[in-house]
Amino acid sequence: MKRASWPVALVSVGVGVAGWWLVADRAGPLLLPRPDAVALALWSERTRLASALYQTGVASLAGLVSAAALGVFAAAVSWFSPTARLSLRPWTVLVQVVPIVAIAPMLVVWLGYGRGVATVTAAIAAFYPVYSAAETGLAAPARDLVDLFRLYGASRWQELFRLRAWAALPALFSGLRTAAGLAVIGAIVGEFIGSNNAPPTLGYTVLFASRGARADLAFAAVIAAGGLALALGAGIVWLERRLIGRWYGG
Amino acid sequence: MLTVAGACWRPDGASIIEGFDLSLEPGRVTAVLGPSGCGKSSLLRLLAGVRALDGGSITGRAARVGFVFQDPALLPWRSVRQNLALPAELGVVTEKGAIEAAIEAVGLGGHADKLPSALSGGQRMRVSLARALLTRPELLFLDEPFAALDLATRREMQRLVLDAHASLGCTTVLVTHDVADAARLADRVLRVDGPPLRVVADVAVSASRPRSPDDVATVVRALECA
Repeated sequence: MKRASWPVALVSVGVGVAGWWLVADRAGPLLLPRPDAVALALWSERTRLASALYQTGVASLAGLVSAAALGVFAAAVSWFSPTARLSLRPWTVLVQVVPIVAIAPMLVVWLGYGRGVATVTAAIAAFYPVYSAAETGLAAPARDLVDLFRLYGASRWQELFRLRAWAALPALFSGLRTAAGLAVIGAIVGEFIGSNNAPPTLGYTVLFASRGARADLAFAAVIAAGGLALALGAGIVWLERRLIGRWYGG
Repeated sequence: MLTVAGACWRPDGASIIEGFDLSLEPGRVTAVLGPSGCGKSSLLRLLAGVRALDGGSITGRAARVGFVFQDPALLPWRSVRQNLALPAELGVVTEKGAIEAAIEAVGLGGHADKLPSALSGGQRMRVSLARALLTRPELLFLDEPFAALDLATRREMQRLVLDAHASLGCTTVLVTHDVADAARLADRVLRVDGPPLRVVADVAVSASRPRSPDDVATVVRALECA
């Protein structure tokens, strides 16, 4: 975000919080807790929330990394072989459209309660944006660069590893930014079904707090989840700037 | 001699080049002059062997080929030196010390470790020319390499091209839509139109190089009448 846009963003957040406060005063704490009650829950439940944040963060990150590895591999295979691309297409579409909440119970049967379910649902949620971005990125090099490699008699492997893999990085990072938020959503959906209170997770905390009429804690967990998604996205932006920013004079 | 006989190129069914014939004399500079989109850049890629013909034949291709694109076509993640190392990494034979010599020859001695993003447009084009000359090409293809350059950089690049052509004795083909560039550099100018690509005039230029502004003006007039 540009420096000049910060004041506008701050005003927007301030107006939103003020509106939330006004509505919460009328709705009552069981339906909608006031912002100060959520802030108090964030502080008083900090130990539980920090532990849950760690559990969900590890599952989200593991899912994102798995999705990145699988997505890049599938895109590279698709680039190498049109037959492989056609063979992968139904599976990549299936991964994109399958409702995670519907397959999570089966994952619990296969993997049992624990971080495994959340990691797999995070990976499923994050896979398609990474795959799609990597596939687009591998097709991205300028025609002149591809012609240059042909002029020098480069093999397909050389073209992939010395040209296309590098040229795909800007698109891949764009896909990873989208996938980071989806990985957190996927992990939390997995935790709704596949985790319990040992150890606590953000998904389980939201569920447990909602059922126990602790809307303040549920909101605190949602805010922690939002912070986690923002942190993952910011980490990817930092990595992107470190790795490829200089290529384009940034 | 590089000879094109009945060449056809029809990407996605479009007749860009159809039954095209051409012979290029060794060691001379031939300019292909024509409007954008007429197929002249496609012809250059066919001559260089980076596109496959749909019909006809091209004979007399050399083992060592250099190509300068309109865009410098540098890998943005590699420094100047690493960009120049690319041909050798891909298996093209270059002489020992050729990279450093090429960097010096194009006047980029202090920029070898810089990324392309840290260079000006003219400097990037010089790196592109240095890369094309690394392999001491027998055939040098230039695809509108001066189009995006300011006048001073354009003159400097043209001097570098002519120096390289003179020292290597290579057959050089320059694609351009600028009649003055063709008049300044070429021994022979093919005025083309299309698609499909066709030669509408074939003009020999006898004035020796470097050409004075008067020489260039005379050739330009001759080309405009052709």
